Amino acid sequence: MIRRLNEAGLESFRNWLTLARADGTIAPPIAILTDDTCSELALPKATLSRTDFDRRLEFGEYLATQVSHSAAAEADVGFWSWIALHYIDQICPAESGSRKVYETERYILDRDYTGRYRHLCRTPWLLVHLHEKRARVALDGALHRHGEAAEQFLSRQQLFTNKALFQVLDRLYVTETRAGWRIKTGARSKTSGTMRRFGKIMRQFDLTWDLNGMHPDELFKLLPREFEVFTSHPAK
Amino acid sequence: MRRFNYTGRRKIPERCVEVTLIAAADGALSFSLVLDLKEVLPPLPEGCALIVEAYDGSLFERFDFGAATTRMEVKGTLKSFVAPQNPLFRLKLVEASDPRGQIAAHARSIRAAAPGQEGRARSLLHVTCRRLDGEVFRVEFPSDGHDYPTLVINDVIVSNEDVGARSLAKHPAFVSLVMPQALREVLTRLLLIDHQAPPPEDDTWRGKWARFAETLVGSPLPDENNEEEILNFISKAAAAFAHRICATERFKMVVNE
Repeated sequence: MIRRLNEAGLESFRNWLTLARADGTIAPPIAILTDDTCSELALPKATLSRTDFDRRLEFGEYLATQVSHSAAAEADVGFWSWIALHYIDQICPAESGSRKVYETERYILDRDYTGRYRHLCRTPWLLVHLHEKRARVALDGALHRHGEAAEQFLSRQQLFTNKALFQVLDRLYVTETRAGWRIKTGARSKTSGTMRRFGKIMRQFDLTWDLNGMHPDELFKLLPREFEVFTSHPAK
Repeated sequence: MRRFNYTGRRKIPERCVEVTLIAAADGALSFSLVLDLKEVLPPLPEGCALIVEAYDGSLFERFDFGAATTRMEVKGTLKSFVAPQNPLFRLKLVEASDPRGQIAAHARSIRAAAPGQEGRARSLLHVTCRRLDGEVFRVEFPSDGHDYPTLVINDVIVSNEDVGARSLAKHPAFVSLVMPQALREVLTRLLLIDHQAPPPEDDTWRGKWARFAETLVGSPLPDENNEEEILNFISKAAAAFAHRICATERFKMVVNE
């Protein structure tokens, strides 16, 4: 079953995040996950038994099989915060017995639209629902990594919902390997033609071009020459 | 903040677009949209396609209504939304030939009249309800800066219906205590946190809220670098608004009931 933290549960989780930031050895309040005074039943038939995920894409795919997509699910603060606490050992792992706790919105879903994309469980789930395998460009790396390079296009609704744009991203920055796939070398850096630049440029283009109506090939043609470094070396 | 517009993209004035949401008995939603560009000068370019997009969070639907004319009335059925959802709409006139796909004109963040509501909502503060963590209400701001601020009321109080939220938003106690505070919060966000005094022609929520505040105070926005003056201005606006809605009298009535 999947539950939802209530006000008392959220308070308890938030307090722990504050304490654990100062002392990473303090144990998370796992008991509140099943305590009726801190949480309530949300999805009785769903289960989250799997915990072995190599990358955020796998995590998102698993969550997407357990939690269907709806506007209500997207905005449910107690629900996503419960899932984050359930997976706290994966999204905030202890290294040498101590955890490094980042910003609260990575664990407790932000009430403001502006910070929701930073949630470490909801974003993989949502991107997989929207883009399936193409979401991998933003979901490489371990579960506790936020993926700063993808921030530019995840923070804007018109961009992160655009399917053609994710196809272009996939073509530009993902390469197939014998072991599966990986992000091309240098794609996450801050130089020309990288993912950060792509996000910035798409934010500008979104004002000028009807990006939602474009085929991936048309979007590709719009890209400035700086992106040739990734188009001309497909297996870089 | 200086903005560049090299492609000559135009804004369609809000008064030219009218969107109405229609809810069926089973909650299915459709919309009708009237676009009237007769008064827009200089006339918008011909040969553009009318694109309408409905959106709320990651939910998104797109409608291509073909060649745009000066006056159009179009209808669409929404498959991703059900009542009482109240999605936002954006409208684009897009070049159909070269440069294909370029936006010639647009209107963003159009809030339709909600199901069961007559006429178009023109409030500067959209009201809705959702589960909040202990708070009775909170003011939320849009991520892309184009939508309007939203007053979210805890659905524990009003049941999960937007109609209930709007009724509570008219309750004398709620109006007198919450609305001046909401106004203060929006202006604080606009003038102190975002630190953006919008230019007079700004047609977004920022421009409209700024003009509303100027009307309340009776003077233009203060110098954006003088924090003390801004704080004073916000307090004056909140007080003037509280007077305008008779906040003290309304609350006194509730207390003495």
